[in-house]
Amino acid sequence: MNCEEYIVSLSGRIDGMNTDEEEALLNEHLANCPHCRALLQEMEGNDKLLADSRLTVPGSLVPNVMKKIRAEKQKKRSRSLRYTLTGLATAAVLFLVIFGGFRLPDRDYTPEAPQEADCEDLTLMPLPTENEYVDKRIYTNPTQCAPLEEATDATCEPMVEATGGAFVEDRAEQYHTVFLYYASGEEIPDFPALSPMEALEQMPGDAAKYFEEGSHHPIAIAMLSAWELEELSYSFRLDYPAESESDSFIVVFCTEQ
Amino acid sequence: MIIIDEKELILQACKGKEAAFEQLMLAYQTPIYNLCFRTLGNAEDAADATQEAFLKAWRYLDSFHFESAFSTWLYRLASNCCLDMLRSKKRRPVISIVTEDEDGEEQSYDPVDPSPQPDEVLEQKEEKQLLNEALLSLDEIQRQIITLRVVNDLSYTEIGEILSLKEGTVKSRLSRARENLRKKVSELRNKNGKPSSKKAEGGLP
Repeated sequence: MNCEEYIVSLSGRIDGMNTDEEEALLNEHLANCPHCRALLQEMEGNDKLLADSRLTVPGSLVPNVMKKIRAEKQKKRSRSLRYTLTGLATAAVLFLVIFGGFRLPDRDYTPEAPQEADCEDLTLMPLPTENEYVDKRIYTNPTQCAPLEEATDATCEPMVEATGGAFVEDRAEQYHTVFLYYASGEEIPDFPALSPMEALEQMPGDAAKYFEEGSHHPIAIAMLSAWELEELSYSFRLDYPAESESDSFIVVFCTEQ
Repeated sequence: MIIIDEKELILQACKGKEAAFEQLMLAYQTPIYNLCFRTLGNAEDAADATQEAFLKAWRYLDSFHFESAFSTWLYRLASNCCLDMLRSKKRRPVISIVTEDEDGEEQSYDPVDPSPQPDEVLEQKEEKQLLNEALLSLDEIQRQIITLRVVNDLSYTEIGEILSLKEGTVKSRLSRARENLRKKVSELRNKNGKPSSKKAEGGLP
C-alpha cells in the first residue's frame, strides 16, 4: 500500500472510526513513514483550528425570523377572511344574545356621520356589505342606531344569563376564526401580533379587497370586557386564562365561505 | 413556563406557538449558522440561508413526524438551502476579500492593520483567514461534511442521514476533504511566504 491509500484511515483515526484491522495496518505504516505522521499532525492541526473558529450567530437572526413568521401568520389570517352574509347576521345575533343590550347600527346608517367610540361597553361593528363605504371606526352609541330586524327587544336583554350556553355553542360551530386582542394594544399570546388599531385598520381593508373580487364578506368586531371574554372562551372552548391582565379585548369573528 | 423538552417544544410549535419555535431556533442557531457559513463562505449569505432554513422549518413543521432526529431534519433543510443558494449564484460568481472574525462580523481584509495587536492574536487571525480561504477551495459537499464533523461534532451516521450518504461514503469523503484542505492550507502558507513547519507539504510519495 502506498501513502495515498492510508488517507482514509488517517482521517478515520482522528474520528475514532477505524476498524481494528485498519488501525493495525495504519500503526504499522506510521511507524515507518514520517511523511504520513506529519500529515496526520497537520490534519489534526487544521481540525483544531476549524473547531476553534466556531462563529457566533448575529443577534438579529432569530428576531428577524420571528418577525417574518408573525408577518406570514398575519397574512395567512387575512387571506382566510372569507365571510358570508349569513355570517354577519349570525354574528350580530350571537353578540346581541350573549352580551345583549347593545344594538347594531341601522342598515341605513350614514357612514359619513359615525359615532366615535366611547368604548365603555360592548361594541359591535358590522363591516360594510356590498357597495357600502368602509368605515373603520367602532360604533358604540346604541341610541343612535335602530335595531336590526333579527335583533328584537327580546334578544337584546342585557346580561349573559339571558343567553343560555346552548345557543352560543350551537353557533360556535359556525365560526372558524376568532381573533383576539387586548384593548390596551398588547397582543394576546398565540394570536396574531396585531394591535387592536391595526386589526381595525387591516381587517376591514382586507374585507374591502374581497368585495372588489365580487363576494360578500361580512365580519363582526366587538370589544369585550374580561368577564365577557371568559364567557366567550368557555363557549368557544378556547384555552384562556380567566384572570386576564387587561379589562377589555377586541374580538373579531369570521366564518369561512 | 420554560419548556425544556425538545419534543414538547416541537409539538407546541406545530400547534402554531411561535414562542416554542423561537426556543428551538435559539437552541440550533449556532450549529446551523456555522454549517451555512462554512458552506457559503460569508456572513451575509450564511445569515440569509439560516433564516430561510428556519422559515422553511416553521412552514413545514407539520411534515416532521419524528422519524429522524429534529436536528437531522433541520440540518437537511439548511444544507439544501445552502446548495440552492450556491446554485443560483453560480451564474454570477462573486470574489470577495471580505472575511469574518469569530464573532461573525464582516471585516474587510486589510493587510495593514492600524491597531497594534499582539503577534499571537494577529497570527491566529491570519491562520483563520487562511483556513477560510482553503475551505472555499473544497467542493460544497466536502465543506459540509467537514463542518458537520469537525465544527458541529456530528457522528458519521448523523452526517450520512443529513446528506443522504452511506457511512462508508461519509468516511471516504471526509478523508478526501481533510486531505484537500491540508494541501490547500500548505499551498497558501507557502504563497504567503510562511512555509509550513511540518514536513508533509506537497503531494504524497
